[in-house]
Amino acid sequence: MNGFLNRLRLLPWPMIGILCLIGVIGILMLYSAGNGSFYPWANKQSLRFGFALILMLIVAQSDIRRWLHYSYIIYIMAFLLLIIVEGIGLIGMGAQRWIDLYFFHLQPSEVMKVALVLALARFFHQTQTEELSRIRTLVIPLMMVIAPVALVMKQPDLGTAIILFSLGVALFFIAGVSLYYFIGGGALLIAFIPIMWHFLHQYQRDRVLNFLNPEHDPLNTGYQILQSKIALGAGGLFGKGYLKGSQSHLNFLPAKQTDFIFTMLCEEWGMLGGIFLIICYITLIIYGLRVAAFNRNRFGRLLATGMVMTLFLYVFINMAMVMGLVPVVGVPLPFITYGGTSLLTLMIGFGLIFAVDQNRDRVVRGI
Amino acid sequence: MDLKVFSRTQPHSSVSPMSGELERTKSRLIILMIVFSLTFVVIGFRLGHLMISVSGDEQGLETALEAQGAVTRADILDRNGVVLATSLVTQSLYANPKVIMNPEEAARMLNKVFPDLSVQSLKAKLSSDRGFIWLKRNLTPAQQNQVYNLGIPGVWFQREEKRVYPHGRLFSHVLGCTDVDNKGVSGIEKSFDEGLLHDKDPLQLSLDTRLQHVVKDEILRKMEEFNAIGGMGIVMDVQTGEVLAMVSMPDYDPHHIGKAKKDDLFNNVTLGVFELGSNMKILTTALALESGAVNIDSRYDITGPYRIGRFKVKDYHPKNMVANIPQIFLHSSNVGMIKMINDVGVKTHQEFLRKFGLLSPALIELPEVAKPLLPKDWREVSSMTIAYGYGLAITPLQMANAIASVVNGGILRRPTLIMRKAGEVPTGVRVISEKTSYIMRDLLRLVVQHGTGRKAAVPGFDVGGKTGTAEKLSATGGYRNKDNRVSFVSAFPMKDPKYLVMVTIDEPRGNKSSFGFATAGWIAAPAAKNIVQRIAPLLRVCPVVVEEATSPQYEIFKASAQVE
Repeated sequence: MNGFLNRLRLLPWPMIGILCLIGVIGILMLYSAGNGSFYPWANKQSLRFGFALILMLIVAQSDIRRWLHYSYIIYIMAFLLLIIVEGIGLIGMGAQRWIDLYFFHLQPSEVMKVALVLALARFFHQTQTEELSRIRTLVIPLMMVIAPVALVMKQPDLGTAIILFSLGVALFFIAGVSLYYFIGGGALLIAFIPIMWHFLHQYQRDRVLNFLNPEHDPLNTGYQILQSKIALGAGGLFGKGYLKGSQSHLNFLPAKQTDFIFTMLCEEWGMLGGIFLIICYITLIIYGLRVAAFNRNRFGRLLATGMVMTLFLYVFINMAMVMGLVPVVGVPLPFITYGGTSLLTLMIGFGLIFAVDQNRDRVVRGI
Repeated sequence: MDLKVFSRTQPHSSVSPMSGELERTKSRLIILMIVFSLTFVVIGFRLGHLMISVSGDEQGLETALEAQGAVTRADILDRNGVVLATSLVTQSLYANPKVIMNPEEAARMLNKVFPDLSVQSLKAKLSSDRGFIWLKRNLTPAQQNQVYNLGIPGVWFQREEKRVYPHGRLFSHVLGCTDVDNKGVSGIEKSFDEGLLHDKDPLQLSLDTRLQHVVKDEILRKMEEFNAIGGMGIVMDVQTGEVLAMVSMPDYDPHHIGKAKKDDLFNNVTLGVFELGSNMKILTTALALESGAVNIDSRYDITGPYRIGRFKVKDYHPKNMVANIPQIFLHSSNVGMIKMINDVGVKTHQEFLRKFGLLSPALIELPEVAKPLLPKDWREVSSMTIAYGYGLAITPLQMANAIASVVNGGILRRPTLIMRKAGEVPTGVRVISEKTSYIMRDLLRLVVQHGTGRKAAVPGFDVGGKTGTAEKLSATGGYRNKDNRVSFVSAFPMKDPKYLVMVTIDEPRGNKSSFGFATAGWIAAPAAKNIVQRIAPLLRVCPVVVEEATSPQYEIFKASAQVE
């Protein structure tokens, strides 16, 4: 037990502090979203955050060799879960994404984000750098990415599909796959866009079309983006004050406790509040990249990069979405948006980064 | 688990077999870092742009409300802010039959919401092979909600705007109307189309809803009473040129313009050109006095008839006498007018009418404006007939405006339908001297006190005016001496005229109450009286102890009156 506490002392507490600060901001925003009440969101979110924080501290203490060992098993289990939601998943918001665990809605696609990073990190960890130039070597990791992306697309959850795909690309990149493959892959992707369009659901197409011209249909799907922009404009430099955002409290703003919570934060706390939150995220991201850069084993580097990438993608897609830079795809704002699963994913992800940091000097050879 | 794959190394152990790979990873991490940084720079700029450059609470809320119910066409108000035209956002229902899965079921569901659309017709529409078909225009919010709740795929709403005229027919000729594409097609809606579409501020007209109602009410009453086919009325502020009321009957319902007959759509006040008969004698007399050819004491032998070639011009009440100007005016003597204009001369006459704007189309903010009809070859004989009201056809608005300038002190201003704020009143052009204007006031007052306009007198108000009974042209040529257009132009208070009222009734039939007469004195003058009586309090004109005319010519006038 003494050892545990000792190791706990060694953790990068300033980073954990920033993480908790973001969590508290989230709870405050949910309190405001409930019109100045802990019910129905802030109370639950506080419990979840506390639970996830403890889980993170435990993960941070873990030996990354265990994660390396179990990575493929975790991946396979996550993949099976994804298949199961097709069968028994709940129907929510037009999409089957959850398995009901009574206290939590388990979102296998969220689990998959951690699992994919673990599995790819292990694969590249065990592959010689020279082998990476052979296309034959890349078939298996490509399948590892494409299979869950296809399943998530089918759910349909465009946001998660994009995140999973981007995670794969990032890990391929950091693992050292030749740049020519990225150029070729990019070209191929552009060629496939018309085909992918065909497979999109109508509401997904609507979202993309409305992104291109939100004012076209201000009362329907374009409404979210338009209202969001208005709320941002209403915030100004210093904001309208906590609990005083008219766009949010008059219910102009849709999904204010979930995907559009950043808009509400900006309306109430102004541009300075928004920038402050962004700086918090950037600090965490820089820390994660540092952990990756200074780690001596490839598994750790890839794991840290993957988890940082996850955080970055969440932050970027969510913010760009509410600002009308990218289509509305339904991606939460990390540690703030109401909901348990993404919080768990991100906390476990940061637990892993801390664990990698603790193990930075281990040299890991291929199994 | 094979933990032997890990080996603990000392920190800072210098040479590692993987240092080359580590460097490569680091350079790629740096690239990743740069991508992240650029992304956050973009986010930061976007945030700054949205939050600072589009700042402002009211603006935000306003835009939010606008997104819910924004209309693109500005309102039109009367001078007191009463809404004359406004736009409502409605939703129209359409379907894409290609997407409808079960037309039969959809038709039955929609029929429950719209009982006026039969299941058969709905089914036919929904199973057609077109990609777009209207089902119902301009739904109520309740209907829209019901259709939402049906959740039929392939049925959508199109946001539309509907122009609404809360006063219905009352302003139909002035306001005009818009088409289904929200474009103005007539009236103010057309002439201010651009402004109404681009300005957010409402357009404020010079009209006064209360006056408009009174004028229409009185005209309708006379039309009914004397079985007339039409009528029109104008109320003007003689000092500013603002039109306070403009009524043309028959009119139409702007919400159901398809049901209107051709005559209903015709704005007589600005689009109709008429020979206005004796009303013209006001201008002839003013001109004669102004030109210096005659003065108030000048006398003419008005013994008729006066021969012009093979025509004989007679007076309505022939008198064999030598009359002065007030007597000629009071008797409305055609012969007297001819003799006066002969002394003035054709050139001066033409110049004078041109100065009053009677020889070119009326200047008013309506697209429906007619050109006056001038004699093809304006010779002496033309001037003679024009002098007593025939041979020159102008719009009633032009006549009203010309007379407004005669009584207001001699300043002609452009008439307008747009409210003029204090200080925005144009200086105008002097058309007659103040002296002539004052004499004309007395003459007009005299007509109401002692002449043909006695039925226009209003107790407590010094109203002045002039009758005009014009025979209408027949389709076959010549005049129909049974069909008259009777009018009365009056102004009040005559001491310092503020308002002008002009009433015209088209083809009235004399009845018992008018002793069979269908003349202006019996029909138009009482209408003008009623109007003045009802609007004077609204215009805050106080009743006064009515004095006799007060000019230096008073004695002459009085004497003239007694001759009759």
